[in-house]
Amino acid sequence: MTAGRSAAAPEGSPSEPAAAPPVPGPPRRRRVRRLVLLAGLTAGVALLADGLLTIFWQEPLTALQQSRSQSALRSELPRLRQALAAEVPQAPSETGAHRMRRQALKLLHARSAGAALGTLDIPRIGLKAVVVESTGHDALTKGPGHYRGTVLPGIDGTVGLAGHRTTYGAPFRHVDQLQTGSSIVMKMPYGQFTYKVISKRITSPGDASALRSHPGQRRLVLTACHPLYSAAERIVVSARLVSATPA
Amino acid sequence: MRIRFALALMVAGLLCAAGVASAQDTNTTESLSGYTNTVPTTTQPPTTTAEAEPAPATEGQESTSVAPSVAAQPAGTAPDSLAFTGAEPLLLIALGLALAGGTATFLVRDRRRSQQ
Repeated sequence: MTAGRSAAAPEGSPSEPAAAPPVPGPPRRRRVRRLVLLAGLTAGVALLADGLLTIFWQEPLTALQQSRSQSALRSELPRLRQALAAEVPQAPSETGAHRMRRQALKLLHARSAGAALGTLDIPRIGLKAVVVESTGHDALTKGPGHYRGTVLPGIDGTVGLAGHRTTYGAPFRHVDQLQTGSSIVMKMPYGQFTYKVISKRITSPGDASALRSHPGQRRLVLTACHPLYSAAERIVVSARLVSATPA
Repeated sequence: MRIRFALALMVAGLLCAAGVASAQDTNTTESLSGYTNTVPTTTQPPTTTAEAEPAPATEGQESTSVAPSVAAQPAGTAPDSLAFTGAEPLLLIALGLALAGGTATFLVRDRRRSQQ
């Protein structure tokens, strides 16, 4: 009876909705899940690409951030030079070295963390960067940082600088390629100072003996993490002053 | 089996990342705390010199006032640790591999299921 009735009913009639073909495609829940997974896949590939770029070049996002910071810092330098010249006027019959020392002392205690101090130029590794005060995290995102507690060029003692090797523009990436005799030039608002590399060594993060000043010595010390993709050790490059020219 | 592998991959990547990140944090804290201790002592002696500097008008006095401050500056005010300036690209690669591998495995499984 039933079989006869179903055989008699015409195909596709509105009285028989169960016979309509099912709508293909995943339900909404599955679609959301797929979207989340695709987002995860994209994020994973992006992280992977970022890591590989950091190894073969430098970390691109922080490099962009550092580049913008450096532009802003560079525009600060002429104003700094003018302000320092106005605040520390030249005394009559004062030598250039003495005036540079007074200006360096003034600058040493006037600048806040992250403020521009001068420029660092290392031709051998193609580095030209504005140096900032402090080696705190925020300051080092802008450029090479000056260790607080060390002197500035123009003052007897050790000038200490730290810089990133893989992130934030990686200013000290190739610092290990510096050799004995390589030139390092620091242009400060009050003068230009040329140093020659005298030694290079690897040490532990807790060994800051290289930053200590010794009477009568005018040195520049560059530090960075070592090896390149690790923070296990530190590389320390020491240089001695060979010439100082007042601005 | 694939799901277990994907989950294991993701968990391993996350654990690896967490381990490296915690090691990195320890380094940063050490170096920063060193500077925090250093800063106050650094500021002290030169400020005295800067204040004393304008008072003597003669050049002789001025130069003697600067010299001791320069000699005194390095005496125990240098930082006691070297700054943290590194990065861990291997951490990014591990995280990226874990995330991409895990999600790709789930995506393939979903596609197969929907095809069936």
